[in-house]
Amino acid sequence: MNGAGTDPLLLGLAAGDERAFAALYDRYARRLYRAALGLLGRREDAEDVVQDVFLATVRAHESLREVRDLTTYLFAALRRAAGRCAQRQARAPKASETTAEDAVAPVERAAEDHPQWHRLQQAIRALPNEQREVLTLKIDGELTFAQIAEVLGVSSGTAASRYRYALKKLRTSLAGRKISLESSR
Amino acid sequence: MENRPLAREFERLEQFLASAPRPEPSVALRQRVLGSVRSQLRRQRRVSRWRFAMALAAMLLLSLGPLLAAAHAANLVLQRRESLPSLHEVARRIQQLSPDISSEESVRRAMLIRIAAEAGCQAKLSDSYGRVLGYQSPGEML
Repeated sequence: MNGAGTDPLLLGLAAGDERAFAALYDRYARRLYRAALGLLGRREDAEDVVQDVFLATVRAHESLREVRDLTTYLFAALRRAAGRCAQRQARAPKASETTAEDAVAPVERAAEDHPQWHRLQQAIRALPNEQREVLTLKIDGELTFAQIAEVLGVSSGTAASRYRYALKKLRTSLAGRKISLESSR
Repeated sequence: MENRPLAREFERLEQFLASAPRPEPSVALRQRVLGSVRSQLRRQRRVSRWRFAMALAAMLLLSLGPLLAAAHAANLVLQRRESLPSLHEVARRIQQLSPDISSEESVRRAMLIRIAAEAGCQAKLSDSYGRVLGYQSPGEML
């Protein structure tokens, strides 16, 4: 648990210090971005959502003194922003939809354009939403079950249970897709 | 039950997922996000300053009205005088007359009285506040 009284980053954020927001970005952007990409599947949407999270944090910066756990706070904001983005996607014409693979920038394809990676993404995206959400927050967001529970508004037990179901389903799915767990690369 | 350690069969899968190559946010995203953060912070600071100025102006206007009305109700004539007592002197006299009010409040009232007096208004002040500004008796022209 953090708190504005003990965490200099939170104090800086609450005071509206630009350097604190830069430090916040450096500390959390990667995890937030990966989680957003896991939830939404499109690079440009993930980037928009990360920006939304930071803007929401700026708008509420004075109330950050009350925040106990900054990680949970940010990922809860991410989930709300991702939800709004998904609603916009649902309203948008189908023709404009692309998948996570389509949305990856060419420069990064070298690292990601491995057939196994594509199959893994397909298997993850085939999971039920609530399981995929927990899996994404755990693996990409690197959250604990207690933090996931707070973000989702469920108990820790429910979060852990959904995670296990997700792993179980994913294991079957990966076996069906002939993906070896020996190496992910 | 739900928080028990993951079964060994899932551990490998979890390790596999955690080590899977995953996309990184682009370098441009940092610049974009921090740029919008900076703009938003500046916008909020501008709005805060305006709100403060408007609140101060509203408070002054709202305070001036009741003060002048009270001055009319009392039966003392206030006129412009060449040299009014200093702010601190007026505040000191107010505190003498009303020892129960704080020094900040006495300074605030002194400011309002001086504003009213310097505006050259023909308001009538209460006996007490007339004395604060140097009246010797009700109705005395300053």
